[in-house]
Amino acid sequence: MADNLNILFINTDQQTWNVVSAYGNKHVHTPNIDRLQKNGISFMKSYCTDPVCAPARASWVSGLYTSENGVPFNGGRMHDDIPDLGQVLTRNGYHAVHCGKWHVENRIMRESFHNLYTGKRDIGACGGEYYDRVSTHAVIDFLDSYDQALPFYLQIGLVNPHDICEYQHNHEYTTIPGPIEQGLLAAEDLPPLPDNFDYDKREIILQKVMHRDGKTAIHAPILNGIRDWTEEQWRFMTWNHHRFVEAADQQIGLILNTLENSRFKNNTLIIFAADHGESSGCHRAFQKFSLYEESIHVPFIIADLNDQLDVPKNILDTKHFVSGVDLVPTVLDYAGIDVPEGVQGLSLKPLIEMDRDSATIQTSENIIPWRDFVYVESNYWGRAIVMERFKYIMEYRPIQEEDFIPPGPDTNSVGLEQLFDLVEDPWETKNLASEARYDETLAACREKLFSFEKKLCRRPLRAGRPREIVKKWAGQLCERWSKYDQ
Amino acid sequence: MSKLHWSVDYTYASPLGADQSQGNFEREFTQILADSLSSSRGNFSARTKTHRYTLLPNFWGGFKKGEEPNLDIGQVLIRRSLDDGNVWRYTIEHENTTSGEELFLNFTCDDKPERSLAGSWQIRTENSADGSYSSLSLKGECNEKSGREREVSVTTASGLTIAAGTVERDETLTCNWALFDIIPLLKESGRLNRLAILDDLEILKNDCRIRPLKNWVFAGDNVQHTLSGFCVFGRGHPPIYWWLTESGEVAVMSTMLGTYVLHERSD
Repeated sequence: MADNLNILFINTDQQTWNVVSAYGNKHVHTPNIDRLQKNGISFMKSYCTDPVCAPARASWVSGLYTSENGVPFNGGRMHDDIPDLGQVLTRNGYHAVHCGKWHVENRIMRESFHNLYTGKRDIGACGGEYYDRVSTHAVIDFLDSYDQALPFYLQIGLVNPHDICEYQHNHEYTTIPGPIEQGLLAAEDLPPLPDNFDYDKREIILQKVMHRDGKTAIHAPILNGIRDWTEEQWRFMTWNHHRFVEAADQQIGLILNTLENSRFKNNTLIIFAADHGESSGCHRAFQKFSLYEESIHVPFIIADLNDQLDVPKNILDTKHFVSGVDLVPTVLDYAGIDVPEGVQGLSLKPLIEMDRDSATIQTSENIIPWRDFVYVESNYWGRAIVMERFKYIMEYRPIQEEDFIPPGPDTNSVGLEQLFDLVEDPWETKNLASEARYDETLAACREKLFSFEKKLCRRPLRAGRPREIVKKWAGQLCERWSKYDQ
Repeated sequence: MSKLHWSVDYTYASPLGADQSQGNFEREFTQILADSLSSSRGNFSARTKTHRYTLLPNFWGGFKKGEEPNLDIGQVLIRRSLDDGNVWRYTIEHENTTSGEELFLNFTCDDKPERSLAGSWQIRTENSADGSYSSLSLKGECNEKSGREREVSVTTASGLTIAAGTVERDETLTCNWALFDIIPLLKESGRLNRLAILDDLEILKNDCRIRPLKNWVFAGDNVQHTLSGFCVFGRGHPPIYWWLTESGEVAVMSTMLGTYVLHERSD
């Protein structure tokens, strides 16, 4: 391992794992992410902790699940006493630098990281077209001029392909003709509809209230605007999303090419990930928020542009489950810094440097089993575990009043459930939860989730906006549940 | 209901459109464009031209909350002149008060309708946003790589060279800001293929195409103007919509996040 190891964490926003040409997607052109794939190890079973910007990012910097860190939705507030990655690195001899999108609510980035660039008006959710090119300029300038003795950790939050949300907002009150009608594209230019465009409607109530019903809790105007979309319009949305992914990839290209010719080429580890996915018509949905694969399954690559750092090249790891909480322990492990107490994730460094075919990982102290499932939360009450074969999605039923401790098996009852056989049905088109022959599987999944959640340190939400959001959503959910119960 | 074409219409019930105290997109757009269209027309064949466009936000929300009521978040000034060697010299000054970066570009193009980039070019930035990044200077060039390809690169002031991509020999390489002259010179079909656009002289967007759109009749100050539309898109280049006046001048250019509206011109 090189002394003074630098770490470059490049992240995109709203990119599902398979929207990368190196992984076989023929409708998008990502030569620069492909370059990372060729120069490193791709964790093909990587999942965000929660498929929304602020929660996913709060997990990245805290190493905690969103029911623990106070940010289980956009509008949550991170608990003050939780150390973040920037603070830990800075205290331990690193120059920790942030550039671009932050979106970790109630955590002032400038107090944890050195601020390279975050926009004149701080980047909120969107704005890739405006901010990403400037972020890249800032990174070029940094890599060209950094001359301090301390090794650096530089995280770059590209906003794209999140601008696809603007494309969706544009349809709220306006009818926009399809690209074939406009004479822009031919039918064969558009990607096909996903195999799960038609989906099993036996979903959890939470999904219906948040994303399906007449007046959804999240982005109701978009849903109303696109409710009558033709297949061509759905396909054009995905086509647009691919162009935004390519735009982000082009920025990544400039950053990599700068690193390539800088003096940091041989001692810089690169991590690439996305905060969450984009549904792109899968399960007839847009954006994220759901617990389906397209929303939670994200790219995660560790690479370098040299042969000095023991990073294997051109490896697709299809075995090990990786979670957003793994970023903190992985970065700290590479930096040679102790992980703060309570952090949930696992360092990927042993996976990278040792026998990846092993189900257990050798560390300097002991042999630990690698996780055999990954745990994801969504919309406060939603949960999923993804296993080798099955995927279990469930919801906790809200409590009408004061439901401010993130739900769990000790406080809330279980609502509806979904079970998918990912081997037989990778597109999650058939919910097996109601089939008697899967009763045992379902019970085992439930137990697995409950016992995992017992290890979490769920903390009450902070007062103010987080509680207002929960109160509002709980009201809508309880109303829906009362209809269901009748 | 807004009278604007959907490609430039961001009047809808976003925090911007609904709250009059924070401005109104349709009103501001219409006023700027109607004023500029009612002033004297540009001389299409002038050897020196300057256009200034106001940048209005196409954003869902969050712009200028609690700030001044007008919506504009920047501008671009496009100056170009044809020198004796039949080369167009472009100077671009772009300001975006949301990103906080000002961009100054200098480049040359040949005097053909495709406006191919000629010679080297300069990029200079100034950042007024919070953060330690303050400025950047780059020099760019396009060199032969092999018989079939040309390589684009930019070099920092300290000499660090950054590859920016390759262009096939038969692909036209131009700058996005030269499209203000390329699109008015399109042949009757209004179509162009195999265009490589070097966005802000540093991000290469290969395989771009230009396609015509149906006309839009813009009614401003009781005078109707028939604007002809075009769409530019390609690899890493989501659709951008262009609207030209009857005299072949770009009146509006609308990206996903911003609408550039003709504010003034001089020859």
